[in-house]
Amino acid sequence: MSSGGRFAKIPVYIRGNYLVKTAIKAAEEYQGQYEYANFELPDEELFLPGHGLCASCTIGVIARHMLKVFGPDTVVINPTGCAEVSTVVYPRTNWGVPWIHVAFGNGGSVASGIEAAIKALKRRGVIDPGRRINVVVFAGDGGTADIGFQALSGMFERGHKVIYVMYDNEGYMNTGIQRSGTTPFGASATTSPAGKKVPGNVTHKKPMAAIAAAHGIPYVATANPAYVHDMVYKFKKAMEVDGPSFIHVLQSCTPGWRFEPKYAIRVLELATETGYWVNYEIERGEFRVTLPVPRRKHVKCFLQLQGRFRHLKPEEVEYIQKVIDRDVEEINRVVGREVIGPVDPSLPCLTERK
Amino acid sequence: MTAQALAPVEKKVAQRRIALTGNHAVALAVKMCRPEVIAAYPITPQTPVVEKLAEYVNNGELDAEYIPVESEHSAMSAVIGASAAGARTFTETSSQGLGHMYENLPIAVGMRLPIVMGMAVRTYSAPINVWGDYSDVMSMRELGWIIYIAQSAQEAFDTVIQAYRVAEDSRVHLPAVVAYDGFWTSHVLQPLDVPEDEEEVMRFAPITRSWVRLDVDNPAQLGAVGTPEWYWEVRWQAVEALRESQKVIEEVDEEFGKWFGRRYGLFRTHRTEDAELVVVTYGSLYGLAKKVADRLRQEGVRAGALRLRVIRPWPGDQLKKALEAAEKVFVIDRAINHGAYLQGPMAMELAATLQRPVYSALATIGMRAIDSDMIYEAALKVLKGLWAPNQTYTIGLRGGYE
Amino acid sequence: MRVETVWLGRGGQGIVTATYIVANAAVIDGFYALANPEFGAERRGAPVKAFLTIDKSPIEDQEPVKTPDVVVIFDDKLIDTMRFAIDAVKPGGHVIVNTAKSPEEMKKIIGRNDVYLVLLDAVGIALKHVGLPVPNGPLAGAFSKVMGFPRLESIKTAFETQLGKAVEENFAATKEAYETALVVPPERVEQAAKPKGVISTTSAFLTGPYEIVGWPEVSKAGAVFPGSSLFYATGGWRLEKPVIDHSKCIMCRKCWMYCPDDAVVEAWKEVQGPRGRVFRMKVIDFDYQYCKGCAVCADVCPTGAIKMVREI
Repeated sequence: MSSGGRFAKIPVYIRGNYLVKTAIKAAEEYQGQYEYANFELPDEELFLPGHGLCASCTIGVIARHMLKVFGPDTVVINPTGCAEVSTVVYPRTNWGVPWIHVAFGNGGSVASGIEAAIKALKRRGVIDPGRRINVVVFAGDGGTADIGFQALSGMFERGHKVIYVMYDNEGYMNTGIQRSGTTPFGASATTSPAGKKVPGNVTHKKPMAAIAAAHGIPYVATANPAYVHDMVYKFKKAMEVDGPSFIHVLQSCTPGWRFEPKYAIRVLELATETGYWVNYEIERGEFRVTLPVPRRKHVKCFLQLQGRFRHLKPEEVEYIQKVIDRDVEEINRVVGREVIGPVDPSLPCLTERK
Repeated sequence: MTAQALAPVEKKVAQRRIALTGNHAVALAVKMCRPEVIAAYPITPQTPVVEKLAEYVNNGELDAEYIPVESEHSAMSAVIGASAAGARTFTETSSQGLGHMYENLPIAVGMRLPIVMGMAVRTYSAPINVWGDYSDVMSMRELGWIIYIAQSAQEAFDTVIQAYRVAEDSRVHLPAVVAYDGFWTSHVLQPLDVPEDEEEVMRFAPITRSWVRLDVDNPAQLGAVGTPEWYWEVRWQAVEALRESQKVIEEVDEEFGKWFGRRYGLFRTHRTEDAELVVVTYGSLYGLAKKVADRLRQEGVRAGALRLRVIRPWPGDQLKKALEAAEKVFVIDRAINHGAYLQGPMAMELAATLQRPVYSALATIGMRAIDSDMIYEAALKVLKGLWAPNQTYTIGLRGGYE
Repeated sequence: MRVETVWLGRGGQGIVTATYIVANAAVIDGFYALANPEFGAERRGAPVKAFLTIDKSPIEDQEPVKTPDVVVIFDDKLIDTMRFAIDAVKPGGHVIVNTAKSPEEMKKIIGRNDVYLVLLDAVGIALKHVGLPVPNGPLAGAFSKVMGFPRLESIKTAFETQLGKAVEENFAATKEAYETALVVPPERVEQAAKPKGVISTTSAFLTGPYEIVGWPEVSKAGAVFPGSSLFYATGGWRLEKPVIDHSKCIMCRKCWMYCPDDAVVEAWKEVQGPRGRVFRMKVIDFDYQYCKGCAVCADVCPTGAIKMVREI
């Protein structure tokens, strides 16, 4: 038993007692193909266990690896959302780095203030000028694409050196699965329910990465926690550029997407394998697909695993497939070669694992 | 602390007399306090403050980060972030701008951040009106900020310096707002004394950095969820700190007097000792109220005037003492408390403090013009019993309750 | 007549829906009812509770139930966590438990001989009829059986208004539970006796063993500090636990990589060689203090070394 005030004495927790000595090494199929194949991560966990996130919530996966890359000299700004209400509930916190939550719609501006303060304090000698302190916003899709959009745009335009990580679970899952600006077409959410007349959400996902790139910021990427190597490599790159960076990370949500908890990673794999989610980066305007998909699965593989799409009629599924085909075509055109291949109906949706 | 105790003291700091508008006086005071981060968004009538500060920064006269944010919501957010990171901060706003940053105002209190905000007051829309009344700052009373209302450019200048010292005191750690009349102070050129050596201001109000900060070497975290089990206790610390701050405000004011030769107290009084009628108001209107009191004295009426300066924390006991002998307390409010028993916000608070009826009137709403004759007429109505207590009358409203 | 009940379960099991259904059905039958769920910041899987009061006359005193007549437990794994509620049941009251265990075993676990035990495999029944492990329909049926109200037809109507779908399936599950729930009567009831405890009004939002202190002692500005979450063991959320067969493990660390709770760890294991030499081998192990049993590790394991097993 311990009171809130006494936690000040507990040092940053390192899982040293388990002698964790693990480096992320790329699985064999990636070796030699990508520059991040042998990227190593430290042992320390800075995102500690004991949180209120749903069982299998991939926010935990993103936050753990994010802090492994950014390290202890990091300040995290966490606007309102699942991550915030589940991880820092007085008197406990899961974060091993300085962390702040102010409100819902101001991740970008709070980060601007913190970044500016660090700059000014370095000039006045309060903080060692040689020390690199990462300012990281960890915000959900609502706090980024909807209510936090203005603050985000202002932060980009003013050029603050802030790493903005958006975990996108495609809705307001914290308040009970309402639709947001990034809810995909056809998804049933509580404010866009699949009704007799309207088949769920009728709008398309807001292209946040493209909008961020339009601000001319030095680094923009999309990532998927099912491909951890790709994700951490992007965090690392974002950390190294001079200026704002934006990483749009897809995050699977058990109660919101309505899949069995154990499929949290599988459903994310399927998002990439079907071309629903393309992992790319835009570095100083140069567009590059970091995870090519030579042959795509049909989008129904991704949709049928989730309860939120269960009501869709075959023609609606085909419509979603067409939209993806069009997007893939556009991506291939921009890249100049076929990085995302055609749909191969022979590919099984779920390969049974042993 | 009343005016009676405010005898002139010997100045410790050499000063020179200059002439500035209220806004520029505030900007100069802020510059002398060396904030590290300034974030602001333009809105009339405060804009000249942030323009001047931007000029100071870009000319290298002030070493600070100036964030030209895209809204007031972001301005307050950015100073909250910067203050949480350990920097001395400043922002300024008015009216709708305050409304836009509203959700962040109580957050700064809960996080105990010593933010100093200037405010050239302006009424709320609609209809849109860019001119000065105190509707905006009055809407901040419930949030936990320290609220100062200054009368002149000199007082606004001095109060900004005092506010930094109070807010950053480890017994306080609360945000403070310094409000002054939009236009009637903000845009009026007035003489004021400022220190010859700017360093004196930093010696008087050094940056303490004693508040809870986001420090990578000792990672405290701010803004945790406060469940019903914890919220009240965490918030109560801010409530107690605000109560405690009154002592600190008086201490700082007294010491400021010793350094710079000017003291203001929690409120100011003019000939109230034996007064049967006391005209209570705030901001630049005090000069008129004093003039009316003098005129009534000449006519044989024992009249006085009182100006509210620190309205949060509310100096209830002191006001009670200062006004206990006065038969009639006539409060001229400069903001509307819509739908309340008395429509003047300060009249309501004074009635509750004194536990007897007060006379209430509204004036300068939307910056409706006023002169001392109008106040004199109103005071006569109170004296003659034409205006009753427990009712709100208006001074200058066409077709109003006169 | 007033019946005060407390419903205990996990986020996502439909506790709130269950109390709404029973309350709604009671209202249809002419009673007054208040279904009063407690909402915390927790997520799916965390323990939650809801109060339901049913009365013949209007209820205005909306306060937490301290000594319930009936406790409904959605998950027999929660008994230890929720023992305070079982202890608070009035003598002669009812404890309704969703369990697949034998009556003798349950009697021992519950540890009270002055209350009615009502046992049913609600998840089993729900899986059979609805195809989902949602025990709320069957538990409503068991409640109706032992209390004598609300009527089954009213529960069906309540399904229509509260769920609006799968009414027949849920009702079939309710009906089966009504018919098959096992009622174990108390050995002896001293009517005048008081329950062993009362449900504290503050426990709902207190997730973790934190000392409740007054305002001068809470940390300034509500600040929290690293390490504090380690007191909050989320292992209690788990229904199944992962176990690993080290002989199949290839140490690819995918399970470690994808664990959202940092509950997959590497540990040193001592193994004896054929000639007696002791080797230290690095192996994957689980931190059951925090593991929520989501089964992601088992799903991503490329060799099938990790299996999920049901916990007692």
